[in-house]
Amino acid sequence: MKRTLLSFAIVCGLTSGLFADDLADMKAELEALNKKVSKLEKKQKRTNKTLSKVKKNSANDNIKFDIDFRTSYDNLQYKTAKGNNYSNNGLYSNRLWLGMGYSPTSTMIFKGQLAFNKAFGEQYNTSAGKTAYNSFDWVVNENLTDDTLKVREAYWLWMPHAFGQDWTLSIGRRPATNGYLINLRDDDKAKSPMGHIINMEFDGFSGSIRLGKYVPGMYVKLCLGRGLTSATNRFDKTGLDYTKEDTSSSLDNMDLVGLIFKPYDNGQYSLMTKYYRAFNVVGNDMTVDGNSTNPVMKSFGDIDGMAISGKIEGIGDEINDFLDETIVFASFAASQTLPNGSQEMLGSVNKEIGTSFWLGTQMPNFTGGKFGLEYNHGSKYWRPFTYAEDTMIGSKMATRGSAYEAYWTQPIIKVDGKSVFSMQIRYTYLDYDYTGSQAFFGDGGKPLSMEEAKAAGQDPVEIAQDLRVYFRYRY
Amino acid sequence: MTSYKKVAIAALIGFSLVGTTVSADAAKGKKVYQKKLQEVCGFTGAVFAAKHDQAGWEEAKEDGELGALMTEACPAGEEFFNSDKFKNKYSSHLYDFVNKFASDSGNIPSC
Repeated sequence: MKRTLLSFAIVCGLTSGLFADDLADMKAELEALNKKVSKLEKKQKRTNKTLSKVKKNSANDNIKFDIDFRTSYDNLQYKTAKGNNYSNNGLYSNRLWLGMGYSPTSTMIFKGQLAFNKAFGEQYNTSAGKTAYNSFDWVVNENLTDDTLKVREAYWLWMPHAFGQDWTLSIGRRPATNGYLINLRDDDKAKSPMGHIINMEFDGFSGSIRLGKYVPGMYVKLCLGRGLTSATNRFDKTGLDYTKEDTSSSLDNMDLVGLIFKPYDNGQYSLMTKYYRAFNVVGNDMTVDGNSTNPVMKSFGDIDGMAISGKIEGIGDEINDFLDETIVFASFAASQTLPNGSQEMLGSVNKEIGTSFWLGTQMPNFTGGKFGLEYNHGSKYWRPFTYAEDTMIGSKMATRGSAYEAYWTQPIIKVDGKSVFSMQIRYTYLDYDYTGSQAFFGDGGKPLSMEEAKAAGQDPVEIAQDLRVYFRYRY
Repeated sequence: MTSYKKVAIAALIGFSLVGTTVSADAAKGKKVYQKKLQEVCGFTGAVFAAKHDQAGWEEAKEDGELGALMTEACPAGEEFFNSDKFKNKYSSHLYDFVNKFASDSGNIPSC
């Protein structure tokens, strides 16, 4: 018994010695951990305080901004039907797009854009008075005006899911410039319309139904826009502020309704179609001899337009990186005038059809940029709404003749794969077969061949060239 | 100096400033998703990316589990996410894309 007790005591003594070391180590570790926890708790308190300050500062900041600032150099050359040459060898301009947006929920977005576009310094027009067309609402941010910030876009977009389908609804000053395909040479994301036929700022509505779950990329979109509001001014002397003018010389509201149908888009192959009708399109009514310096603007009738455009992004299935990044596209469009009664429209009382086709490609180059080539041709009565196209010499898509273009877009600084600072060199050559490309719908839009124009005592532009270089910051 | 010489100099300046880094690209990732996964998964890239927050996607990438997490988000794409092409060619672009449009990225969807 004594031996057992003695052995037991010896074992306890030995083990307690061993455990004593372990206990001491554990105690030291616990103390160290407690100190760490205490430090972390203090850090957590400081972080919470900082977060509260950040929340206070950013509360009710319900908008996010982005910047797109571009400086361009353009060399413009014009040659007229009689062989006269006109040029501007150094047109420098600055363009700012101040983008803004916010998404308070996953189904509601607000987007807007303020902009200015101006030539360097004051733009002094030495001809007889500045025209009102330069600051027309459809092109007020695409023409060179001044550095007043103007609203280029402002709209809400609601994306509800209802009746088992995905819808979009939007009202405001819509993203109606730089649309499908024309966005490639402008190095922009494609906005709502088809660039072959519509490229102008407008206020209106759009609604679409997304059918991608049935056919890849399919959707149908209805667009309604008002290009001109007929209304008297505020503080009208009659007291009838903002009533619709109703005289023989007053204009009607100019409206546009369009239907976009995208039958297919699987990310590589895409097809897009559009039909629109523009009501009460306007033009200048000149005197019989066409030499009036005081034309009267009036409504001439309606016009229909349509386009079908296809694009292939990536040739083949992963043949090589060059073909993977190559884009080719083709587009066909048509317009038809619908004159009022016996009123001449584009110089004709008949319904005149105009057509245009457009081919292009964009390829990656060895410098990490993109190289593009485009060609389009328009017929005698071809008439789109592409006033806001970013081409100083006039819309190439509206050319009643042939247009050729080559460009090289080069990212210089990239962040996370996104081009933050880039450069582009672009050459555009327009060869007009007829006059009146992109003119309004009255007498000025009448297509005359170069010979007919010369015989009528006119000297219209026959060839126009633009060599542009720009540097662009976007973030 | 003639105008064309000025243009040539501008081109040379631009060319000389060309970045030479080869980096992953969210825009390429979006295209990869559209071509390879959208039809298979049955929802848009924005929906796919928003299935996890940025920390979730980042953690998966660091742990080498990006393919597994993407399969979880789109089970129908499992074959693609297990392929050599995904591992060797597409994973970095797709990661950039999902990271950019993750549920807490704050990025406003394009419309």
